[in-house]
Amino acid sequence: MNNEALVETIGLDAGYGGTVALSDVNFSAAAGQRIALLGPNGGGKTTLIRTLSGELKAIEGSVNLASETGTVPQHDPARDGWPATAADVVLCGTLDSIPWWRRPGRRQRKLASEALAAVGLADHSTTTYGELSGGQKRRVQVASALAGGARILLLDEPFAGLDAVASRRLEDLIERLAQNGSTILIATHDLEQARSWERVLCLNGEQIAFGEPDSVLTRTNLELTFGSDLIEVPGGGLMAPPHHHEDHEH
Amino acid sequence: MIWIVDQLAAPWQSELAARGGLVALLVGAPAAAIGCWVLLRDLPYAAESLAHGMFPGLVAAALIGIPPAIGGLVGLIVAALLIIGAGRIGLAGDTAVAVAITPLLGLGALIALAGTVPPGLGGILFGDVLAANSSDVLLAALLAIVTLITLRLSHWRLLASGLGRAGSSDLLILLLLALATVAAARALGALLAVALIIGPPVAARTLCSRATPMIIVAAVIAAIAAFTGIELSWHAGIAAGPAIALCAILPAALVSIPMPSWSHRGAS
Repeated sequence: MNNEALVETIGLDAGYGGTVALSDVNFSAAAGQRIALLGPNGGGKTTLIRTLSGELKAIEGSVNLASETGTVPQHDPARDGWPATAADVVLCGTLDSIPWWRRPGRRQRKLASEALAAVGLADHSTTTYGELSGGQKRRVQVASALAGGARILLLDEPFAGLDAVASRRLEDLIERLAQNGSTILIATHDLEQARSWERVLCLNGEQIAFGEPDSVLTRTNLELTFGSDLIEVPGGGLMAPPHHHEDHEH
Repeated sequence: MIWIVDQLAAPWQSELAARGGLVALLVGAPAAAIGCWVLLRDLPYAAESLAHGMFPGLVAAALIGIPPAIGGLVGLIVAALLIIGAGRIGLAGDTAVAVAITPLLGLGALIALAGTVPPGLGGILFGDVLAANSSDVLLAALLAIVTLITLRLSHWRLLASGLGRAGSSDLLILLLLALATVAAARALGALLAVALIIGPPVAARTLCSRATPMIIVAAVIAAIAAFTGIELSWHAGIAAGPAIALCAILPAALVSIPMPSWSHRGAS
């Protein structure tokens, strides 16, 4: 693996039950880079994230990771009304680092406390998770991943359903984490957002393009990625089709 | 005042009532603790069904003359196998449970009512905690220790399972539930055991927003139910098992009366 890369895939085919949903993915990302995952619904963004996180096994090819990964899934996995505070959720992120019979100790609590502070929610440590807003929940999940020692963060549509203020806060957090050396893969439908990050990976059942935004976000690549769903906006710009979601959170 | 204290102390001067209260306490507190996870994981129907599923095992044990706990355990294993089998033929969730458990309850009734009625049928159905002997105390204490230690060790994994941060812990919960059900059946019988498993957690869930306080409050409510149940049984002259079941369920009914200021649960 490239010495500087935290994450790398070589000839990766990924999918479900032996059926390939995403083929021939080759990319690498270094510490401090934000990588936009662009693609239509069903294009393979979530499949790639689940494969990088180890939830799915690679069908072909390889995945090389130089750090633990932490995932913030598209849909909040917490059960409604689950009796846990924000601090509890973050602390649960440390469980993989201790044997199953051990309870989180002083070290894990310190890590959780630092992670919660890093996402700007130290004041909400005792707030019940269900009482947090959608944006705060995403930040708590990022903190949970950080507390588990992850330097590779996999964020699946983290901005879906967030209002402008919550989106801004989350974007600032992502920038800060990248500056501190994390590699962050972010599935998104926002081309402008993708343009402001260090790398873009376009997927549509296979890898369409990977590289710096200026070289990847061309009309040809975007048409191959989004097909006829690509939206022309006045002034000659292009827009990816919006993510479909049910709830608007803040 | 002294009269009240005398009245409250009266049952505990009887060895039978004192031992029965101890057994109810030893089975009630762990049952309520595991009941909290049963409630949180939406498994109350499984809890009730497991209690009913062991009925034929209890009846058979009474007829053969072996310890009811063994019969109950065998009944639970058969019930679990039937539920798995029903699932394998394509029946899902609660349907598989219903299809597997209803015949077991019927089989238990068939065995119980055919020919010689087994000794202590009432106790099998509704418990006979006042007939508890020192072996029952020992068994209840052993199961309580196993359950509480397992819950303590697995607390964070159980908590993480509801946050999508760990795999499902339903199998562990169901195993502990089986132990709690076998133990609780001695005090409350196959039909009422679920009262100790579900009643206190329902009340505690309304009062607490975090898991640990909820478990502690549920265990305390179960302990109080054991105490007040014996008192009620003694002074009202009613069977101890149903009295304890009533006291275990009553707090859930009381806190369910709409009084917003009692609720500490977050919006969810």
